[in-house]
Amino acid sequence: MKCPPLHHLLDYSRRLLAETESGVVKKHLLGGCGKCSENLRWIDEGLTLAAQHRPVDLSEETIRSIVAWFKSQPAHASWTVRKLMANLVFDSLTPNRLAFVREGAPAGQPPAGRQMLFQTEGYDIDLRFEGVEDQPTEDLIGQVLPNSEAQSMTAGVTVQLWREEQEQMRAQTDDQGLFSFRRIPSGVYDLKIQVAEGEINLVRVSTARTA
Amino acid sequence: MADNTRLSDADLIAKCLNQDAEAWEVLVRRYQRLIASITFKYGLSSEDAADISQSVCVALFQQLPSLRKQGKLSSWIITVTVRECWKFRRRQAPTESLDNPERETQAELADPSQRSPDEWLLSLERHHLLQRGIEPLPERCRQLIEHLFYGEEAVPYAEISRRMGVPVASIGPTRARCLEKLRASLKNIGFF
Repeated sequence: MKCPPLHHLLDYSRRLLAETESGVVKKHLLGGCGKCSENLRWIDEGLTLAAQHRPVDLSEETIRSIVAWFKSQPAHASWTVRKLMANLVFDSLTPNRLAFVREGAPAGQPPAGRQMLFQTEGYDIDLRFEGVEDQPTEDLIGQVLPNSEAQSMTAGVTVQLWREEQEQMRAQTDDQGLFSFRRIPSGVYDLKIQVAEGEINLVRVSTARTA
Repeated sequence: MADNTRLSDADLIAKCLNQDAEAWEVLVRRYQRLIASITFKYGLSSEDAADISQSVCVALFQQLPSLRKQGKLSSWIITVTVRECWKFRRRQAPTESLDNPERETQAELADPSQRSPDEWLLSLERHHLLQRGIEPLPERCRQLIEHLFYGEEAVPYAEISRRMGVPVASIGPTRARCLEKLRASLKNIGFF
């Protein structure tokens, strides 16, 4: 049987077809037509979404004021490519720190974790590596925080994980500035964090088991 | 502005970075409904919704350089809008317990249809994608599709024809053509 046109599928989904026509469409679908099944799926979903979400609009005045505000802003060009180098200011595996804060592993065993704090102009970046038991991989959990009121918010910031000049993974910070990369192979990585002021670079960061 | 409406988010952001106000307007119009839906869900007045949307757009402007490489702007907009709504509520009720913002957000977004807040936000994002599919259709198609999908059950052709100001006889063929266009548009933006 020839495929029913989309408007028949729409009427079928909305239960507007007469019994005979509906039976024909149903038989066609039961016959396993992949294309019509796919069409029925997006039509069904579209109708469900439309029923669940009545469109709500901002006022024209609000939209116009946002556009007017944009026109009054200086160009982005001056700060889009700025590179910010982050400096390591704390490392739980640094050997020459006070003994009671060091969290190194017992002799002969690789450390289970590593905490690091980096700072750059306007931002703190916390990193925590955690080894995954019986696996040659680690989890990296981090947080990007503005260290002054003047800095931009850190929700929705893109964080890229690079290794040997190649991007391995990317993540987006949540509304607390938190991000994570799960089960990454132990090794040395670069992190690039895209904030409003430019790109923060954390260079040659070793995971806990590589330190 | 008509040409810009067909551009991807990444292309619009690139134009915004070159200070193209028309591209900015298209971007704002593309996402204004998503922002408004969340403020509406939080029960905010239109004045408060205007404040929230301005904050979200300022954040969007600040993050444009990093967002140009990102595939899913809608997720970012949702995260930031929910956060701004929560911050607004916190300012409104400073004496309430604020130990668990996540729990509070969950309560704010509670849904009578028993969906979890995450499910509601996911469904809102899908709805935004549906709207994105409808957006580039010709005006007449857009009107017809909105009648078909958002209209009340079983509106007769005669009524649709009256509302749209077109002959009854042309509604049937137009409907078939517009649904094909919608299908192509939704496929193009990855709805299915």
